[in-house]
Amino acid sequence: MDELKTRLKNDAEQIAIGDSASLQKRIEASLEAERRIPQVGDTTNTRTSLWLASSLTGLVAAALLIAVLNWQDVRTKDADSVGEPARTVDAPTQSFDWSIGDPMVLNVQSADLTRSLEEELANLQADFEKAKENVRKDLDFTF
Amino acid sequence: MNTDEQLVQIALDGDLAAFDELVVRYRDRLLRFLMTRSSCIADAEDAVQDTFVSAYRYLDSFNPRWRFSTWIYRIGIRNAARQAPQISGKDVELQHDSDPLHVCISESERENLWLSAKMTLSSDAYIAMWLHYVEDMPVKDLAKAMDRSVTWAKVTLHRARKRLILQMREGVADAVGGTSYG
Repeated sequence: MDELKTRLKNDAEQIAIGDSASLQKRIEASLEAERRIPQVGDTTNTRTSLWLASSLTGLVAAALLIAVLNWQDVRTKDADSVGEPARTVDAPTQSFDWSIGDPMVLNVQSADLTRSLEEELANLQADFEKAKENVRKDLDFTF
Repeated sequence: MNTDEQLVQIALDGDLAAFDELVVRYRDRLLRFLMTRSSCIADAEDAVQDTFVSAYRYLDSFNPRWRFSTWIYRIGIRNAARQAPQISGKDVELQHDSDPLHVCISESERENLWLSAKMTLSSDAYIAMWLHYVEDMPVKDLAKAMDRSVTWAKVTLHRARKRLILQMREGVADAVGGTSYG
């Protein structure tokens, strides 16, 4: 050990540090306070839980949004179809031949007129089911 | 007797007494070191306390590839810098009445080389010298503790060492001169 190293070590020991017992008590108190809140290693678990919770919330929100949008879409189509009958019903009425006098024809015609709407509804429902399936797949993939 | 790194692992496994053992091992060493980096003794004690709390809080991030001393000193240096960012041997004119190093070294020990080091070396050079010569920290570890390159650490230690050796010789010369007059 060279002279400088010996001197530096000795001189460092000459630095009086006073009453270390009081400092020890302060450290113990602050560590105790720290231990009461999060435990060692809990920070990682907390982060994972937060990540999982936020992901789950996001996915649920996305699923709800898709469901609401689809539902509103169906309602809008329904509303449109309610507003249109005056026009769609007028057309067959004008061309209806009263001389035949068969009320069953009217039923057939109304069935024909609403068939496109029913198909649309069936398509929308199929789309909705697909969207639901996608969300479910995403959830399975994530967790 | 467990090594520091083993104690960290035991503390991480849930035995908090192991961390208390680390506190006992490093408390005085850190205080002595931070006393030379802080503007007053109370600040040094605060820095030591904060260092152990930070170490406990982030114990799971300790990388066992490095020595525990490197890690704890790194935290200590950061805490001291946060408390007194302008304190350094060159940046601040030292007030001897409040300088903890002067307060803690008795009159008979005023030729203490660390006082000279604080006056003549830069803040970083002083830290490097302390970690290397008092804490026996290898150059690679002290570079890591100080967030510097190994080359920087080697050059800084070399220059600081030269300067302090000169200081020592001048001190001896003064002492010899003084006795000859006496």
